[in-house]
Amino acid sequence: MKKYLFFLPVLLLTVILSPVTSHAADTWSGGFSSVNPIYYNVHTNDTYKNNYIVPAARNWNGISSKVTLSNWQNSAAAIEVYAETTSDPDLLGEFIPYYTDNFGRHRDTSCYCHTWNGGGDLIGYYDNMNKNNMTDSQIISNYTHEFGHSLSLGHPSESSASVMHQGIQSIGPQSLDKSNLRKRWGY
Amino acid sequence: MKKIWYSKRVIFLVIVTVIMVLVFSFKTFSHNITQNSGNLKSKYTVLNTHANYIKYGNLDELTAKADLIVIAKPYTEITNDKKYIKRFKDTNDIIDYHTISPVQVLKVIKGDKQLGNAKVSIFQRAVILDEKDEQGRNILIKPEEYTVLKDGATYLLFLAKIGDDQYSILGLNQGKMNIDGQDKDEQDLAEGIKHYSELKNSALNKYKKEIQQYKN
Repeated sequence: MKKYLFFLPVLLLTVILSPVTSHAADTWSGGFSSVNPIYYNVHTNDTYKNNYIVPAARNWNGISSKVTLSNWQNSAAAIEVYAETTSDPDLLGEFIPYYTDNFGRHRDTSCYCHTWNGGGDLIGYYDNMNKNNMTDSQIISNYTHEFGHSLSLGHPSESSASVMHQGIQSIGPQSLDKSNLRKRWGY
Repeated sequence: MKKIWYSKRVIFLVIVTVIMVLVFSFKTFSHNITQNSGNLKSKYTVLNTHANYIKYGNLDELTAKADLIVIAKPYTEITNDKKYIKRFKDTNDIIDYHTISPVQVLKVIKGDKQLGNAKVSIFQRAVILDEKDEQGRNILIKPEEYTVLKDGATYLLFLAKIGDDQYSILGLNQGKMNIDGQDKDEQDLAEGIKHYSELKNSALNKYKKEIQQYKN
């Protein structure tokens, strides 16, 4: 028995020194209640929509049988998609989810744990994409990143390739993203 | 005899496991309490957004892109600053926003030296909405990885010029580093995001002479 007592402080120290963080989780427990299908409504011209937004959404289809992003030009769609300008020179895109009470008043969303019953707005900032000379595939990648957020995927903590990393990229969902999507929603 | 010894070992392992679970649970609980009692969550209902930003690979990239690098102090809390919210006309959805926060420049490290001791306006990617939540609290909308400038704290700022005496923080939080330990939310952020933590450590090391007198 005594020989095991030696390990007790070592084990406790290991636990105490291990990192605990709520930032940068790969997936969130919160999000839309169901995403099979989840509809998005696009507020851009048809060319922009067909060249960038629809291909970006389709990037997430066929990975999990529980996830389908579908275009529905109706205000009842869960996600409203925009191409806009911004005052922030480094911002490429943003997804804004809403969690509301019965009267439509906003509630806190900082725990990543609530159901987004107020829908979500997904915005790509074309002025900064143009300023950075982003190619077609980079623009699609940027929208793919934001659609990934709408599916409860966060910025990954791992350094391996992922469309959910910050910055300009020209990739679709990678192995890590597919794995995280299935982990969050199922196969 | 052998059976008794085996039982003792099992009991010991169970006790150790229980202790580890208890310690870990307490750690997680206390961490969440600390986060919840931080500057932001204690004051506002926070609407976190999820943004994609230009990522600066290292301090050299950040420094090269900056029109102005300064040590500065905010004049006020974000609630008192001028705000801008742009909504899409058909849906009334928020499509862009910022707050223009005045800061007192204490030292210019890169850029127009005449701005030493001047007041400049900083665009923050965060804004207080006009409406209140169900408890009457202010609602703050901001990207998850941004922490607002805290009144009374001192910062090293990497800024892009966007107008006369108007600047934007580079790369969301990447161009904003608290140097006097007064911004608890930013400390939490630095602990949670490796890339930001590395940038900040590099900057504090590179500019340690410049920031020394402002650290406390």
